[in-house]
Amino acid sequence: MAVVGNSHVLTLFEGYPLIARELPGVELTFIARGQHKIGHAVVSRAGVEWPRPGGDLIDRVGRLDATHVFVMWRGSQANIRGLLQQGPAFDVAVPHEPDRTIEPDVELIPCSAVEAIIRGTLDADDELLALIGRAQRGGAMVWLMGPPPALPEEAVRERLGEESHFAGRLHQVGVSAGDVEIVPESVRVRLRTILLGVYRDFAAQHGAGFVPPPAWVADAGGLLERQYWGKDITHASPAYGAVYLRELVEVAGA
Amino acid sequence: MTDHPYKKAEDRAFWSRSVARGFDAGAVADRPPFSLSRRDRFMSAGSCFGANVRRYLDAWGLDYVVTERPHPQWPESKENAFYEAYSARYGNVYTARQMLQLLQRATGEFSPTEDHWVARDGTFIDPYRPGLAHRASSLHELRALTAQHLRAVKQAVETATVLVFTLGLTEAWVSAADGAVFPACPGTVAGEYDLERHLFVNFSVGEVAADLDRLIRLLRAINPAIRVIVSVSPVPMVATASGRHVMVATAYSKTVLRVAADEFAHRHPDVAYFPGFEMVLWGHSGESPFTGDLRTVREPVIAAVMRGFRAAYIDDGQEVAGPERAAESPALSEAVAAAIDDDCEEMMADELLPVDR
Repeated sequence: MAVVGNSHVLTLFEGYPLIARELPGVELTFIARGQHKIGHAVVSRAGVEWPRPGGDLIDRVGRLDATHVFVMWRGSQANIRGLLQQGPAFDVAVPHEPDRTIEPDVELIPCSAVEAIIRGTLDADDELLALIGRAQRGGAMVWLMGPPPALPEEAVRERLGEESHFAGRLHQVGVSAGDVEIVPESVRVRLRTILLGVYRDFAAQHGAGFVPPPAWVADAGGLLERQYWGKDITHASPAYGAVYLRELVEVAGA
Repeated sequence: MTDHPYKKAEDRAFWSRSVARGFDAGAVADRPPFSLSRRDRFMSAGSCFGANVRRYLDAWGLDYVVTERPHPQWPESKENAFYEAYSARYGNVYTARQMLQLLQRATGEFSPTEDHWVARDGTFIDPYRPGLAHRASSLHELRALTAQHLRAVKQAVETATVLVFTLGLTEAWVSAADGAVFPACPGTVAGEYDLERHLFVNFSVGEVAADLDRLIRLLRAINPAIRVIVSVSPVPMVATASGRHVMVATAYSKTVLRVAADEFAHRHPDVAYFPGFEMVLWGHSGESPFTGDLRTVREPVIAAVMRGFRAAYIDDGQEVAGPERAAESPALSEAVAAAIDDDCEEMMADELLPVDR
């Protein structure tokens, strides 16, 4: 099996040693698209190639001899669009909360509008479509993966300056990490719920499966459990990566 | 020759002197019962032609009240053009009854029985805004979005000092349960037509006049200071369900609306009639006021009408901007142009109506 995609793959790659002893005989390949310091990392029982800059991700996936290819692609759409508050407070209504009271002083964004925005990022991503197609043509079952649950507000504030995207945004609006308004936790949890639904639908429409992170990495409120917090807002810890990887191995073995 | 009333009449009383030649758009409207200034806050509603109001007021730098707009964090959540062309996302309001019911819903006086439709894909449709691009995913969400919209409608009326309302049609489709007016026949833009549940109505002069009277009472109850400028859309009907030729049906509809609007203005000191209808049909010479479809009003004609509007109500001594200036707001122009061209519910119905003879 192979885990391919973006920087979230690194989390699973770093989690691999934590559960390596549980996976005798499992051939694992990790390929992260080259960006920032990640480069291309390939680890297998045969060894680790790290970092390995250059090369074409789709071509590499095409040359994989894997029965299952798990793809982590994008996943930060909800974070990027729904982390720092701009303008009036907003909320979204998700179908599985039919009795929830929606406050009248909060602007409700249609769930279908958020879905369309996220879906647009996938539909327009030729690289993702090519990657899925290439893996499927190679005979692999393709599965999309989902991003980790949202972080609690305190964790977000602690990490805001650590990621260039958010640091840039703060600099742009001239607000410090301590003062910036964060979208409420419950709203961020709903945005991720919508995102996972979009990924599930997108996968199904392209003949792929969908494996979200295990539900129990989140607390009762849907936020990422403390033990899985990563160093930045977007990525979770290697412990989370290990948990998610174990889930993928189970799916591949089922 | 004896003296008679015509001897001392102004030029504007004579067709030959004020229409056939020497046409002055600013001289057509009667002296308004109230005066407006740049401090006034405008809202507009009505049929497709009414969507032009916002475009020009915006270009003139006047205060156009908008209480429902895309959230800055989610700009892609904007709605179809004709829902973004007015003060709130009510889209085109074709009949006086539809406008009355919109306000009644906004004030909690009326809750339509038929308050949702379910599409084949499981999404939930607002029967009173069937052309919304972003449909609700659940009944819970639909009701919350509708409540949000109706709060925005009420807020617009509370904020505005002037409502510019353009009457468009007398024909409508209503719910048999409670008379709730749909902006389009169920089954055209969305929903499913049901012979038992959906009735065709063609309002009479008396009915339109009564609805307008109830409308002004309700407007005053929300905002005692609001004034109304009422007009009639010159745009012919897309289609009629009356069984008559569409030209005859259009003539009936426009005549009814024209009479009702005039009587409405005469009954209420806070209402003025703006003769945009007349200005489009007769306030020009030479080519048709309409484009090739004989429905869409040409931009220069709209510009002339709006110059007349400004001269009549907001004569602030400043140079009147033309359509070129209005076009400086490209996003809005695009929205309004789409609204008055092909995207309104009436046109959607035309395009979606199957030919089944």
